Amino acid sequence: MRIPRTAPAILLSILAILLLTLTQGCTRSEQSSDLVVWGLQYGEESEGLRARVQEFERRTGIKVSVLSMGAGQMNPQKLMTAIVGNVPPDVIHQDRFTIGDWASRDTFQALDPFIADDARAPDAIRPGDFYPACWKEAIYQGKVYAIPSSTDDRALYYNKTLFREAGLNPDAPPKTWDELLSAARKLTVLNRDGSFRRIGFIPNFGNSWLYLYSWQNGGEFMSEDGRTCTMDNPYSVAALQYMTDIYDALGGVTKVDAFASGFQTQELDPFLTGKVAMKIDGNWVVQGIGRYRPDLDFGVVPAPVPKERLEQTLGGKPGRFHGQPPFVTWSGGFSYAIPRGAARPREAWAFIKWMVSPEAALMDARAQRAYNRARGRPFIPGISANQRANEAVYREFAPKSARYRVPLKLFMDMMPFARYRPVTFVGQRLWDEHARAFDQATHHRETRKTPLQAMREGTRVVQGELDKAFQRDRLPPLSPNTILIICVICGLGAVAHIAQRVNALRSMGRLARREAIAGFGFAAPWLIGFAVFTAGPIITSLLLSFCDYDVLHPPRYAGLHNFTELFTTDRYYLVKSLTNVAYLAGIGIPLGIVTGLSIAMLLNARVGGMSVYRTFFYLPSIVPVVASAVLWAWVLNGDPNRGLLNAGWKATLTPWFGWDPPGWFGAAEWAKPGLIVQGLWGAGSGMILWLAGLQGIPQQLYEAAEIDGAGAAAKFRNVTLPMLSPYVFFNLIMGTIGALQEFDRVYILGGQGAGATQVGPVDSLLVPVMYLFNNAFKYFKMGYASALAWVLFVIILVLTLVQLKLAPRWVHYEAERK
Amino acid sequence: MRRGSQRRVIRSALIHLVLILGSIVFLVPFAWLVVTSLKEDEDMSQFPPVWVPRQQATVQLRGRTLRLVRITRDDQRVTCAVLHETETGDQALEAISPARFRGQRYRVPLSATTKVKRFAPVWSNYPDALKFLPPETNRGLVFVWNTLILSGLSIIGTVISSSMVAYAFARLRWPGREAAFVILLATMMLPGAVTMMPVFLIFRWLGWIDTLRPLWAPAFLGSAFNIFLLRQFFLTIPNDLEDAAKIDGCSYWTIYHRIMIPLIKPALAAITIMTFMGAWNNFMGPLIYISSPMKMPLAYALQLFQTAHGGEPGLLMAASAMVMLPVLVLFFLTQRYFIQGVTLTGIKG
Repeated sequence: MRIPRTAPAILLSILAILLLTLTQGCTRSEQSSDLVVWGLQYGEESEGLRARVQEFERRTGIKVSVLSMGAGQMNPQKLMTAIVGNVPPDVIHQDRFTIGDWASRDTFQALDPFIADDARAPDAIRPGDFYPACWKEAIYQGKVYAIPSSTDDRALYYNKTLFREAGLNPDAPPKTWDELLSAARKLTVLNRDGSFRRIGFIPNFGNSWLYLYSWQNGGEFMSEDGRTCTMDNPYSVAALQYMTDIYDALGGVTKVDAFASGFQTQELDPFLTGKVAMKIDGNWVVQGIGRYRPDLDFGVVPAPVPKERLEQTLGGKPGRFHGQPPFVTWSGGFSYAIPRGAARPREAWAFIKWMVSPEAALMDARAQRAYNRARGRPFIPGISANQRANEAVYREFAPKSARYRVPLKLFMDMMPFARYRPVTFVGQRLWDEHARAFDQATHHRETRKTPLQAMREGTRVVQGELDKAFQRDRLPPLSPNTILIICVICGLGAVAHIAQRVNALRSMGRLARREAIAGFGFAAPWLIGFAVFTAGPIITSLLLSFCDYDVLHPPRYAGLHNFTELFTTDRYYLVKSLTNVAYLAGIGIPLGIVTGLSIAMLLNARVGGMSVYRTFFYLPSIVPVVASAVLWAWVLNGDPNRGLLNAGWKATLTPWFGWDPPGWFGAAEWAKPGLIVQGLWGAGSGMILWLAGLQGIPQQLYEAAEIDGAGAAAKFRNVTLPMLSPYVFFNLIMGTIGALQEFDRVYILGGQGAGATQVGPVDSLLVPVMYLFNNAFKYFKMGYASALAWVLFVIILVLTLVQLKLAPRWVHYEAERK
Repeated sequence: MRRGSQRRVIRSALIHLVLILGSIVFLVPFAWLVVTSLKEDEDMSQFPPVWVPRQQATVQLRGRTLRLVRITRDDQRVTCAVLHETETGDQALEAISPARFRGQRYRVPLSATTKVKRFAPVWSNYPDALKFLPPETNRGLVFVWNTLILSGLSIIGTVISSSMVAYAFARLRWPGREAAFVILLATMMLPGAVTMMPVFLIFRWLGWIDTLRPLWAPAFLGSAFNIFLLRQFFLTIPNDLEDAAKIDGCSYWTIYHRIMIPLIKPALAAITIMTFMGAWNNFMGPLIYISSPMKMPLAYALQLFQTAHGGEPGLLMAASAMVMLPVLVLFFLTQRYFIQGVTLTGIKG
C-alpha cells in the first residue's frame, strides 16, 4: 500500500477538526438554558401538544426542548441512568403507575412545597380537580410526586358486521365471561389449512392485562399496607385461569401468537381490518377508527365480567360483589414529574402547571381539530386527568357524530370509579412479574405450570423485593474505613512493587536504564488503562458484590446476601439464563464451525470467480449487528405472510412433510434456533480464517495421503482436520467466551427495547449478560449485578481452563512434531 | 485422460452450483431488505411474498386522477377506474379497457374488485423514515456525525496507543515486562460484565454520562487484543534496522514512529478497519451512557427506531438499509484489509 506523503498532515487536520467540533459540541450543551423535557413525543399527529408547548414558550420566554426517542418514557433504564449520572431532564412525562417506584428511590422531587407555595394563585394545582384514580396514583407515602396529565380507561370494542356474519346479535354484545368466551369461539374463522383467518377475541390483545380480569374477579395484587404481595390470591389465579382457557379454546397461545405476530399498526390494525372481532382496549382506539376506518360498524361496551359479579351487583342475593359497581375498568396514563437534581425546578413547575391546565387542554384541542379537519378526519378528544380540563374540552369539542360521541361518553362516565394499579415501590417489578406469570401460565404446554404456580412464583419474587426493602435500613453501611483500608493495602502493594522496580532500574547500566524508561513510557497508556479500567474495577466489583448499592444511596454491607439470593430466590433466572446460553453455545458454535469450514473448503477448490463468491459469503458478517438483528426479526417473522423464511417454509416443507412454519422469535422453543440461524448468516467472518488455515496445509501431505490410497473422506479426516485443529480450538475458545457474553442481538430480538418484561417468549432468550444489564442499569442493583458478574467470570474461567487442559489431547500443532 | 478432464469439468460445475446456491442463501436477506424498504405497507403481508415493489395504478380521466381496479365481466377481465365509493362500501366504476367495454359503468362490491398495481418502488419510505426522527437530530445527520466522531476518535486512539504499547512489549526490555504481558493476555478473557458497573461509576464521577466520551476515551489507553496483534507483528521485524538507528543515535520515539510504524502499516490498516467496525457496531455502550438523541450514534438510534416503528416494516427496512450502506461501501473499497484483519487474528491460534 502506498500512502501519500501528505497523509499525516491530512490525518492531523482531520483530528484537529474533530477535536474542535467536539469541544464546541460540549460547550454548546453546557451553555444550553433550555427547559429540557423528556417523554413527550412530537410526531405527525401532535399538533395539539406542539400548540401547548409553544404557548408556554410565548408566555414565559423559556425555550422548551422536547426530547423524545429513548429519552425516558417507556424505557426506565435511560431515565435512571440520567438521574444517577447527574444529567436529568428538568421535566419528565412518565407513566403514572411507576411513580411510586421512582419516588421510593428518591429520584423524583416531592411537589408538595410547590403546591403549597401557590395555594392562592389562580392557576394553583387543586387535588379535587383530578380524577381520584389519577391523583392517588401519583402519591407515595403521603407526598405528591407527580401531576397527572392524561388518562385512559378500558372497555370492550366489537365489530358489529362480524357479529352479524357469525349469526350473533350486534345489539347484545357479551356481558359475562362465559358469553365472551362463547362469542370468541363463534367469531373465530379458520383457513382451510387450520391457520387463523380471524380471531374472535384475544384476552391480552389490546390493553387489558391480567390486572383487569383480576379486578373483575375481585382479586388484588397488593395488601392495603403495601407490605405484602397478594398476587397468588384465588380470585386473581382464577382470572388467569380464565385467560388461559380462552387461549386454549382458540388452539393454544403459541398459535395465537404466531397469528398476532403479523399484526400491523395504524390503518392495518387487526381490529380495523377485521382480523380480530373483539378486543378490550383503551379509549384512544376510537381515534384510530375515526381516522382510518370511518366506515367501521363497531360498538363499545364495558368489558364483560364474571357472571357472579353482574348478577350480585344487580340485585341478586348479597355475595362478595355486593354493592360494587357491576363493571370494572382501570385507568392508566401519564404524569409530569421533576427529577432530583433538575437544573431549573421553578420553570419546570410552571411548565407542568400550564400543561395540565384547562386552558392548555382547550388550546390543544383547537389546534388538533384544525389539523384533523384539514385532512378530513374527525376530531375525537382524549381524556385529561384534570376533570375541569376534560369538561371544558368535552363541552366544546364533543364529536357531532354519535358513533364517536357515545363511546367517548362511556369511557368518561367510567372514569370516576376506575381502578388503578397499586402505588408501590415494587410497581415495575409487580408489573413485570404479573406479565411473566401470564406468559408462564398461558404457555403451560411448554412450562408445565398452572396459573397458581405461575402466580406463586411471581408473588415470591415481588415479596422478596418488598422484604429486602423493609430490611434494608437494618444492614450496616459499608464503612468508608473498610474501603480506605483496602485501598491503602492495594496502594501500598503497588508502591512497594514500583519501588522495587525503580530499585532494579538503578542497578542497570545507562543504556538499559534508558531503554527501561522508554519501555515504561511506551507502555504507559496500557498500564494506566489497566489500573483505572481493569484492576480498580475488578476490586470494586468484588467489593460491590457483597453490598447493597443503588448508586443514589451509600452502599450497605450485605454479606453473602446477593449470592444467596441469586442461588435461591432467583434461581429460576440464573438457571434459565445459563441453560439458554448453553443451548446457544452448544448448538451455535459447532454449527458455526461446520458452516464456516464447509464454505471455506468449497472456496478452497480451485475454480474461477473465487473472489466474487468470497465477497458474497463474507458480506453478511460485516453488517452492523443491530441492522442485522432488525433485518432478521423481519425475515424470521412467525407469520408466513410476512416472514420471508416462513413463506419459503410454507411453500415447501408444509406441503411436502406437513410441518407447520415455526413461530421463531414469537415461540418459546423456536426463539433460540432463530437466534442461531441469524448467527449463521454471519459465519462468513470465520470462513476467512478457515481459508487461511486450509491454504497453510502443505500440499505434500495430501500427495502422500493419495499415494497411500486415501480417498477424499480419509484425506479430510486424517490430514485436513488434524492440521486445522488449532483453528478449531481457537474458534471454540473465542466462541465460548463470546457466546457467554451474548447481549446485543438478544436485547433487540428479545424485544427489550420495546420495554418488554420478558426476554423472548417465556424468557427463552434470557442470557446472563442481559439479566445482569437489567439488574445493573434498569433496577440499579449494582451489588447484585456484580455478584452475577463474578459468577459469570468464574464460569468462563473454568470453561476456558478445561478447554486448555483438554486441548493437548486433540489439538495438533505442527511445530511439536519437528 | 479425456475422462479425467471431463470429470474435472463436472466437478467444478458442481462446485459452482453449490457456491451459487450458497451465495443466494447468503444474499437473499439483503434483497429482502431492499425490496421491503421499497414496498407499500399493503404488500407487506402477502403470500407468496411480493418481490417486486408496486403501487396502485392510476389513470387520468376527465382531469381527475382515479384508481384502477380489475373486475370480471363475461369471463373477461375488465380494467376500470374507480369513480367513487358509495356509502354502502360499493364501488362505482367506469370501464377503461378492453375497448369494447370502454365507457360502461358498473357498481360492484369492494370484494369483487382487484386493485391494478404496477411496478413502482415506494422511494418515499426513505425520506419518510428520516422525517419520523426527532427534529433536533436534523434528519438523522446528527447520528451520522456522532458515529463518525466516535469511530474517528476510537481509531486514532487505538492506533496510537496500541502500537505504542505493542512496541514496548515487543522491542523494548523493561522490568516486569513478562508479567505485564501475561496479565495483558489474561485480561482478554475477563468478561466485560465484571468491570462494567465500576467503569460506569468512574464515568459518572467524571460527569461524562450522556456524552460520547465514555465510548471513545478508553481507546486511548490501548486494547489488549490489538496490542497483542501488533506485538506479534513487531516481533517479525528484523533487529538490523533498529540497531542501525540506535547506532545513529536515534531516540526510541524516532525509531518507533520513523522505522516501526511504516513497517507495520498493513497491520495498522487492518486494526483501523476493525476498530471502525467496532465503533460503528457499538450498541451496549450507547445503551448505557447515552440518553439524548443529539448524542446518539447510528446503531443505537436504529434500535430505538425499531421500537417506535416496528409495525411499519417499510420505514424500518429503509432505516436499516441506510445504516448498513456506509459499512458496505467501505467494505467494497477496502476489502483487502478486512480480510487481512481476520487472517491476522488467526495468527493467534
